[in-house]
Amino acid sequence: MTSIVQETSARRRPISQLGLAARRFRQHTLGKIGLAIMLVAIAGAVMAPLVAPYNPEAIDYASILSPPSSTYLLGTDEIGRDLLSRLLYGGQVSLAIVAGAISIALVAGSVIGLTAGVLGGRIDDVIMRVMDGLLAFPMLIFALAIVAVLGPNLANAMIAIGVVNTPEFARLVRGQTLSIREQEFVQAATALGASVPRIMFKHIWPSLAGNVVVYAALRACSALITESSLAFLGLGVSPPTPTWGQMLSTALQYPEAWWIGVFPGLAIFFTALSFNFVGDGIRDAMDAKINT
Amino acid sequence: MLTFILRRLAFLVPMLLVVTFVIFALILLLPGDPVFAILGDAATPAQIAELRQKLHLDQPIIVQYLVWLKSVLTGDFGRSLRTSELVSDMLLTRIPVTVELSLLSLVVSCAVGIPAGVIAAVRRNQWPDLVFSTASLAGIAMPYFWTGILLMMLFSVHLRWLPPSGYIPLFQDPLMSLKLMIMPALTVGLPLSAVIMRQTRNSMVQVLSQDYIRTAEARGVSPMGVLFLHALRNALIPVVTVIGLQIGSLIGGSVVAETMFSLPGLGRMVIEGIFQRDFAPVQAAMLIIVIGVLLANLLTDLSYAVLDKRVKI
Repeated sequence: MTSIVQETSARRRPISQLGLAARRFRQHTLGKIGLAIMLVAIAGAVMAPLVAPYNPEAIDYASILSPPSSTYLLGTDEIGRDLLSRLLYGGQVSLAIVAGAISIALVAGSVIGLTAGVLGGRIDDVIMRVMDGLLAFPMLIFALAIVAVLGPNLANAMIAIGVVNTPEFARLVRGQTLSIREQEFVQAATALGASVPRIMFKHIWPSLAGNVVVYAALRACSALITESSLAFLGLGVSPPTPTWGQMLSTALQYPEAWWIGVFPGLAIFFTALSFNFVGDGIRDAMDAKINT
Repeated sequence: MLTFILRRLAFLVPMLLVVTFVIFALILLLPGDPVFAILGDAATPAQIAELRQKLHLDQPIIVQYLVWLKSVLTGDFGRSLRTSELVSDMLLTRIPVTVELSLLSLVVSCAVGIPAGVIAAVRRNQWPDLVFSTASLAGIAMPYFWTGILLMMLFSVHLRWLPPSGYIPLFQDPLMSLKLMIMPALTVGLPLSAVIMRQTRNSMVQVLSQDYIRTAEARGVSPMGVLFLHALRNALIPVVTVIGLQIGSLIGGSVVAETMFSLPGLGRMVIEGIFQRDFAPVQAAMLIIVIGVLLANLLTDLSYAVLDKRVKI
């Protein structure tokens, strides 16, 4: 008897939006798979010093280009460094750049989008024409040019990938701001004399923050691919710091050593895929309306 | 139609101003003074002042930009610092390579993506749909260069069917030229076909469930006729948009493919210029690439109007 009472009262307890979204996410198979892969990738990178079998820069001249074996689980590269250890450490750089770049794009894009959307008129026109112009650049080429000018290192890779992703965030935020701006609670705040920054960040931003976060997860997939492309083309973080893209560029010189061409590629592929799955999962869970 | 085209062209003008300014401004961010780079450390203050004036470096940025824009509009992109070749001449030899690669990649992506999408839609939720949908999901997370490496390992190292890299102009030896283009075109085209397949499948599924398709079937139109004459034409409209939106990504992919497979195109011109710190060719190649993307977007809008009569012109 008591248990029934408890159950019904538990059922009646109101569930928060977040709790509801978490429940829906748990039913999203691809989302869960993605989250699992993503956690493995992050854990591998964070715990690389603990789990990596070798020092990623340790050279073993006796086993140059040796195929996967019990000593070197994923084989070694052209100067005898352990591929598995380099993959684990490489994740640190790649994931840090993606996280930094997406944060830059999210903050800059949101501020630009909110400003354009709230102020409207001429300012909106000018800002959005500039964003449209930036969007005309192929993302990789734009990022290449920025890194080339600033110089290839970790911070500049973050900035470059962040900048090229900013217009997309700005466009999304501006579009949503335009519709939220017309709602009563914003008009009430305006009527009460709230300042423009207050309207932007206190009233409008909370209503669209969820969608922006979903979009960030989806963009992380393409940010990782751009990062690894830069590294592959030789404009990433300089050696000997391993990154996945840069490891793949050595595969071109040693195409017979299939393990060099396959494993770093798999790392990029599965991590990028996991961002996509997680983004899709959160989107469906939050019922956000964003086209990818 | 004419006013529609004119309106779209007018819309391009502010875009082009933004784009050209960004390309121009990138050079301003470069560390170091170009005057010292040209004259060296031993220059006298008088020489420095003279060159500064000659290069308009003593003028405000907006004036420098207008001077640069004027010379670009007349086709004068300057000379390469390294080879002192005219940049406009470099462009003339490199544009055809990138155009050839882009068109072949587009052919590959449509030839793979559209039939796969149609089959997946017709056999919805059966095994062909599952196979193609999984493959297209994977294709979205596939970096171009990894596709290229895997193709190279398979076709030129393992099977020895194709030469690993190189370029021969199409008119010199068409067969060999195409043979050398197969892997680059697959590298760029296959990831793109994933996007096209997804869009074709979704819009085909939508179109096939509409009443006019049932009417056509009831009137006794053959299944193939329904599929190709009635359904595909309408289903392709959103596909065309998606292809248009992917042109930028396609060109980004060709930068990678040109570098990997040693094709002397615009993308490689950008990369080479960056590594040699020779920025006039980089600016020129970027400008041509972006204009190409903008024109492709314009063509997409126009073809949209042709394909879909409901678009108000």
